[in-house]
Parts: sequence; structure tokens; C-alpha cells
Amino acid sequence: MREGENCERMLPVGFCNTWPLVMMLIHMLAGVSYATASISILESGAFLIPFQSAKKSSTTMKADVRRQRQKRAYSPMLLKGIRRLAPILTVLIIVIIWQGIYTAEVYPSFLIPSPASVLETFVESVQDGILLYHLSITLQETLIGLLIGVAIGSSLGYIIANVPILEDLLSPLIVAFQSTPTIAYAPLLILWFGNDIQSKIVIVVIIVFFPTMMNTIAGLRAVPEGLRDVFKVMKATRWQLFTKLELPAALAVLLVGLKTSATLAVIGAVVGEFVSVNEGLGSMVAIARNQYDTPLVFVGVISLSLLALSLYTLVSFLEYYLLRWRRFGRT
Amino acid sequence: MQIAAEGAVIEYAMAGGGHLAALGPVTFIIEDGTFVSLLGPSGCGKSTLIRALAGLEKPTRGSFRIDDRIVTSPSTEVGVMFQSANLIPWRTVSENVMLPLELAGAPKSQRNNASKRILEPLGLSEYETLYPGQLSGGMAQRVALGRVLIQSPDVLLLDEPFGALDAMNREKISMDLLRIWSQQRQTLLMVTHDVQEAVLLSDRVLVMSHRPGRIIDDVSVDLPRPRYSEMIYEPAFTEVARHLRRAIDRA
Ligand SMILES: Nc1ncnc2c1ncn2[C@@H]1O[C@H](COP(=O)(O)OP(=O)(O)O)[C@@H](O)[C@H]1O
Ligand SMILES: [Mg+2]
Repeated sequence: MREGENCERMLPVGFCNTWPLVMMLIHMLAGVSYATASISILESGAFLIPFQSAKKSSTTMKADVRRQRQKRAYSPMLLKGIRRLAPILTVLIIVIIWQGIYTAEVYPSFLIPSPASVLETFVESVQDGILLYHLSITLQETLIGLLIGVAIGSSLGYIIANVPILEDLLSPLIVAFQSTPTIAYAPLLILWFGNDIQSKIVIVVIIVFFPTMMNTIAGLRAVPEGLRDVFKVMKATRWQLFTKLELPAALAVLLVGLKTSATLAVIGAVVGEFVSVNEGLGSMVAIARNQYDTPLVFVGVISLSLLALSLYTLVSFLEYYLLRWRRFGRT
Repeated sequence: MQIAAEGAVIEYAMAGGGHLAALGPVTFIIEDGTFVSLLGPSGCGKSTLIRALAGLEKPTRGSFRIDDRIVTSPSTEVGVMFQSANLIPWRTVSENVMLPLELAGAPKSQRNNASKRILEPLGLSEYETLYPGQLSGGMAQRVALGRVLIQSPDVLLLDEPFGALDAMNREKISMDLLRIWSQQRQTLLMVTHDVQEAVLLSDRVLVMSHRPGRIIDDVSVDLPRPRYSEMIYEPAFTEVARHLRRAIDRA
């Protein structure tokens, strides 16, 4: 561990903090891809129904509907049950392997602590309120940032979609801004917005804003001209066109993007917490790492992925409810 | 209400500069309460004409009139139906049908009643709560027709409304349209590429030339009403159909 100490003395503090950060990022990405995979499996199954029926041009209406009802009744309940249990099984297997590695003493326990000690630390940190305190800070940063980011991103997206010149003017700036790694300008933002949650919120806003804007533009562009014509010949006002056509149409694309944005928001908050160690789960992990409290690092990391996963699931449910018409295909 | 075009020409600006003449000049008057079909080769400007009468396109020269009003923008007195149903995918059948009333600010109870009243004769009562993705092509076009009829327009503009349907569905839904029209007697202009359909439904058939489309033939169909499907085998019917066929081939 001498190397670590050297590093801290010779290089700026922020740099040394990158290794847990990298681990975090890998972990979060794994979490996201896992969640994406499991959800997309569910969706792909549901998507099959409308596709099959939409392709068929049936002769009578009644037969068509009857066929669809049957199709839904056929849905394999057992398979669904297994799918629902699968994630739990995965976690169980990981814990078993983890315990195996610990028991076999492949790595010293300060690198990989036992599942039991992590659980113990978890219970302790819940009891003395530390975990929930840091969690609430990170959650605040994430949610506030997400809200502001989505608000700014979608409004700007709406404006850009309607004023094409703006897109040409702004796109180089936005793309350059977006392709710069967050960690690169995070220290600057901390300088400007301070050590507290404001700076982390700003980081989250920046991370969330771009995909939201792009999705809004894509959503608005995807509104078929034919539907616009329908609204026009019915003498819809500009406001009605917006609330009853553009907004719902963009919402479909926006919600799909929001799932990834929600997890990106957690990453943003944690990046901020690593760069300026203060409060929040990211800071908790950074501090625990400095004290070689590896079980607490584990608790922090696991809590973070659970947080990201919960947000993802929440948005998925929102999407499932708001876009229920999608499960029946498109016109 | 009367529909009229007076020396109307529509040109589109082309990408390389210059203009593409899509329609005209056309001049015609369609009398109040008549059912008129429009036949013509594809790309001759039929859709352009319908869109212009609906207030979606502006004439480069000349004018379009609905009664005394020069058409410059859409009107709720004019109901328009396009070749594709264009249903809103996130709205159920009844929510789609209610859309015009909703946009006009009608109260919910009134919208619900109107939707029930419209869906019944179209045979859609059972399917109120389905989403467009669950409908067959024929059902979707019925819903689109219901959505136009609910605003009780005096003028109906139909652009190949049943073009995407198979023959069976097509005949059924066009007879439904004929029944509804004979009760309400809107002024109706329908684009079709089916000569038999045009003759069977219409009082009068207009034939357009190649692009830029002009009216090259104007045929009255003097078959008695009510019309029924078997009429297509009668000599009077075949005579009109043959005449139109020749006109189209010359177009
Ligand atoms: N928005 C447009 N811009 C440029 N050209 C158009 C546009 N809409 C139609 N056209 C052209 O005008 C002509 C007539 O089109 P259209 O009215 O759709 O024909 P039809 O409905 O009779 O098949 C076509 O040559 C078509 O390419
Ligand atoms: Mg056309």
C-alpha cells in the first residue's frame, strides 16, 4: 500500500481518487447493462404480439380480435415465473462465489471481506444512521439534478426541433461539451459551485441534459406528418398540438431515454462526490477507502448500485404504465 | 355546401430552383349534397387537390371555394379522411373518435355520448377500448371515418379512404359510407382508383389528366338510388364504367 501513499503525496488529490472511481464506473455500467438486458427480454416478449397481428390483414374484424385474445391467454406463466426469479438466482450465485473466494483466502480479507462482515457493516451503518444519511444526500443530488436536467433538456430540445437554425448553431458546442469526460470539468464545477450538493446537482444536470434533449428532438421528429395533418384539419390550436400530439409522442422516446438518464444521474452524483469528498454515498466510499474500511466500501458500492437499479426500475414502471398502448403495437 | 375551384393551379418549389406543377388549372363546381368521385392516374395531383380544399395547401393561382368562403385554412365544417387511417396510437378507439370534440372543447359527457352514437352504426361499439395497434386495417379506417363524422361536417373530403383495404372489406365499408351519406347528404368528394366503386357510389365522376392534373371528363351517373352491390351487373352501370375506363386510358 506504499504506492498508494506515494501517489497521494506526489500527485493532486483528485487523481488518486480515480481508482475507486473507475471501479465504481465499471460496477455501475455492469449494473445498467444487466438491468437493460433483463428488461429488454421482458419487452421483446411483449413486442411480439402486436407485430404478429399488425402484419396480418384479416378478413373479418371479430376473428381478428378473437385471435388476439387467444394469443394473450397462451402466454407461458411458468416461463414468466422463472424469469422473475432469475435475477435473485444470479445474486445468490455471486454471493456463493464471493464466500468461496473469501474462504479459500485467495485475496487478503482487507481486499475482499467476507459477505458476513459486509452484512454486519451494513446493519451497523443503518443503525447509526450513516448509510441513510449519505444515501439521502446522493438521492437528493440525483433526483434534483435529474428533474432540472430533464426540464432543461426537453425544453431546449423542443425549441431546437422547432427552430432548425438553432440546431446548426448549437450542435458543435453541445457535442464538444458532451464528449468531454465529466471528470475533466468536475473540479472546475466544484470550484464554481462549492463543495456542497449544488455542485453535484450541476454535474448531474449536465450529464442528464444532453440525452434528454436528443431524445426530445428525436421524439418530436418521429411524429408522423399524417398525424399533424389530422390535427390541422381539425383546427387544433398550437397549444393543443403540443399537449395532445407532440408531448405524448415525445414522451414515448423520452421515457426510454429517462431510464438510462436515471442511472447516468447516479454516476454524475458519485463523480462529484469523489472529486469533492464531503457527503453522500460516493464520499462515504472514498473516506472508507482511505481508512481501509473495505466492508464499508462494499456497503457503499452495493447501496449505490441498488439506488441506480431502483431508479431504473421506477422509470421502467412509469414507462410500462404510461406507454401501455405500445404493448398493443402501432398504427 | 358547394365546393368549387376556379382556375386553380398548385406548384411546388423544387430543390434545384424552378417549379413543379402538381395540379391544374382546374375549374369545377360540386353542388350541395352530391356524391362526387375523382379518378385519375397516380401522381396527377388528386391528393394535392384534396389537401388544398382542406386548407392544407395554398393555390399558386386561382382559388378554391367552399360555399362563399375562399379556402385559406382548415374549417371544422370540412371533414377530411386520408389514405392511411392516421389514428393516434396512444388513444383508444373511442378516444380517437372523440378527438375533434375534445379539440373543440366539448364537455366529457357530450363527447362520450357522441362517440357511442357514432361507433354504433360503424359496428365498432365492441371495440371502444382497443388501441389502434390492435385493429385490422378495415377497423382502423372505420374509426378514422367515425372521427370525421363526429364533427358533423357538411363537406366530406376522402382521399382514397379504402385504398389499402382488401376487396371484401372495401365493399363493406364503402356501402356503410353510402348508407351514412344518404341519411345526412353531405357534399362529398372522394378520390378513388376503382372505377366500379366510383360508379356505384357517385352521382358524378370527374376524371383527371396526367400531372399537372386537369379535369378531362365529367360524367353523371344516372343510376337510381338506393344503390346496391349487384347493380354492377346492370347494362346502364357497365356502360358508364366502360366510358370512364376509356377516359382514364386516354388521360
Ligand atoms: N409537398 C410536395 N412537394 C413537392 N412535390 C409534391 C409534394 N406533394 C406532391 N408533390 C408532387 O405533386 C404531384 C401530385 O402529387 P399527388 O397529389 O400526391 O398525386 P396523386 O394523389 O394524384 O397520386 C406528384 O408529382 C408529386 O410528386
Ligand atoms: Mg394520392
